[in-house]
Amino acid sequence: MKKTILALAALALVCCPLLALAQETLSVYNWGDYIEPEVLDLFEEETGIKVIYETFETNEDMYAKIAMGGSSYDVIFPSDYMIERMIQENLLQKINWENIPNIANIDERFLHEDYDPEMAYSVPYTWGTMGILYNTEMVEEAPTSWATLMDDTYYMDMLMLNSPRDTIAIALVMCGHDLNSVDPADLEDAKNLLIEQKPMVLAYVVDEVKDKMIGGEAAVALVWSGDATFCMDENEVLDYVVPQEGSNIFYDSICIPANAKNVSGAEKFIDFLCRADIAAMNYEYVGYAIPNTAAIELLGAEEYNASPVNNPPQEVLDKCEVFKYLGDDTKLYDQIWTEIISEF
Amino acid sequence: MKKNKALLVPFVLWAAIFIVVPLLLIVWYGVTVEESIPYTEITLEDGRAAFELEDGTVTTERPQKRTTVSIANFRRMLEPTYLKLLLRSLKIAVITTLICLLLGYPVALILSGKDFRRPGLWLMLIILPMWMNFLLRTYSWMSILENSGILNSWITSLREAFPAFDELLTQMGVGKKIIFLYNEKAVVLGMVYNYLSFMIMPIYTVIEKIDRSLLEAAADLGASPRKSFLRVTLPYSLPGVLEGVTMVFVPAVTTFVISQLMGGGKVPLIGDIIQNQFGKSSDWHFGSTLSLLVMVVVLAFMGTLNRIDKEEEPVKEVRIL
Repeated sequence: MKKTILALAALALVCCPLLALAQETLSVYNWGDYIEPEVLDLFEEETGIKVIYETFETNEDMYAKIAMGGSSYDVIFPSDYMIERMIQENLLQKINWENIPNIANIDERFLHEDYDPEMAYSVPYTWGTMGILYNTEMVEEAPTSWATLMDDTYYMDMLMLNSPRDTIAIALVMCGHDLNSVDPADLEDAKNLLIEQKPMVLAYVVDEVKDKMIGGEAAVALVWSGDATFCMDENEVLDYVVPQEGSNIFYDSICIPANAKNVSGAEKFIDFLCRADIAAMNYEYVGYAIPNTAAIELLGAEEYNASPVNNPPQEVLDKCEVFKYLGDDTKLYDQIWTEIISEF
Repeated sequence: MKKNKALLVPFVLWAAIFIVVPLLLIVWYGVTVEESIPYTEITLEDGRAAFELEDGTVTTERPQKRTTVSIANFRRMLEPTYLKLLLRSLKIAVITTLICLLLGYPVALILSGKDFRRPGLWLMLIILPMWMNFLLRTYSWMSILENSGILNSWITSLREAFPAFDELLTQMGVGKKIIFLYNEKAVVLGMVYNYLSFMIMPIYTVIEKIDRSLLEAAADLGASPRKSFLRVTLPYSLPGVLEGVTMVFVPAVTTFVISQLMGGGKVPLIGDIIQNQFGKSSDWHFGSTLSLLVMVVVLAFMGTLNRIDKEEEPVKEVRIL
């Protein structure tokens, strides 16, 4: 029944463009499962703007759709390195901060990161790190260092990410190099390290890491903190650490594409998402760490900060770096990655 | 006749839009590369940001990427890394096809036997799993074979119940958990399971249609069952075999999901590498070049099969002795 109504509504929209035009609309393009659905209802109620909501799976999918033109969105949610790329390719527009008073809620330490140093194009929505998810019943002592991933105690008992950029970045950190390095010598070190590690790795996974870690398939795994939160909620013997050598910190941010049609609506939406109560609602649904100080106070700072995902020690955070957009050098990473996984 | 041609129009349109155009796009992407134009950022006298190209030209617009025709990707494709992966894909596809044939042919033969009751029911039982999404079926295999999976937990409880069995396994050097997944064998298992019915169905359809009087004649003329199989059933079923082989081999050589899930990313196939190019590595050009390579391999394979098919026309006369 619901579907029929939806279909009819869609038909009505297609048949009567005039009718559709009568109401202000806002086109939002976000990651799948990355907003509390009620937030959208509340926004529509408060502003009378109708939200057209679509989702994507990866930054690259989103980028392809925006860069090819043809479709127009008013609000998008790219990650750090993708923002850098989109700024370079003139795909984003500057945000008028006068219309976003709630930007004051965002913690200063999460602003002015390298991908948008002048804070002109993006508002951080969530942030996370890469780290080690471990099963407290299967490890002898809690890992604190990336060296755990080279420790043969965990022979065929560790999971790595099947993702060139992320895994090579961690290998670069292990070798003591910059995690954005494109120096062939540094990358050669990282490659050799990962080839040396390969016999100890049970599997290279992406989404499957969640099922496997919850099921006790391996003792340790390289994961993104968002997945860690999910797994820890499902299985309490799991714990997460950002190793002391530092790691990658990533931001998923809110931006307005250069070809947006409803810029004022987009500003209202961004400001709405930065409001303390709304950001808190979103946090409870999405589970990623948020940069919104006012929302954290609302949620109870003590409880929020108890999670190792939300609150890695500041000295470790200081050593965390965002990914830079590598441009043509992305190829280099892909080539090295293919060499590593095809080693047999 | 004219009427018939009109009926073709939808198909031709369909083929043009969804087959020819995408194919041309892949060829275009395959023979081109995208490269950035090198530049340095400078500040003009009036304080505006500008970009200086290598030849000295200055623009205020940031130089964008350009697409040029190049064989660079073909050269890269011929590097040992990629050829090694292609060879492995072919090897696994051949093994899968052979196993499917060895398992599927007898099944088709038995099902089409004249004494076999209710073949329809059995066929349905074979096809039934195919009604489920193949991702779901592969995930089921994973939960059976995982280290923390069903099979391992059975083995563990058997070991606990029978100490002698436990001792035997320990003596054989079997660890606490047996790792079934994450290797080539697991990938082959996943493929055989998913593709087996594509082998059985065409063979069954062909054998079922063989004129029974030929077999009766063979028997009347004194041929043993073995001989009448070799001289009648086998040659007549060959078109079905060739179709089955194609329907198993082609998806097996191009798959990427099964190898990722069953092989745990440790048994990458050429399909996985292509998928990476369109996903994480975001290099549609190289991905298209690799796709072209796979297309050529598949075409060569189908061409060879077609030739066999033509040469091995079912025998018109049945010779005994």
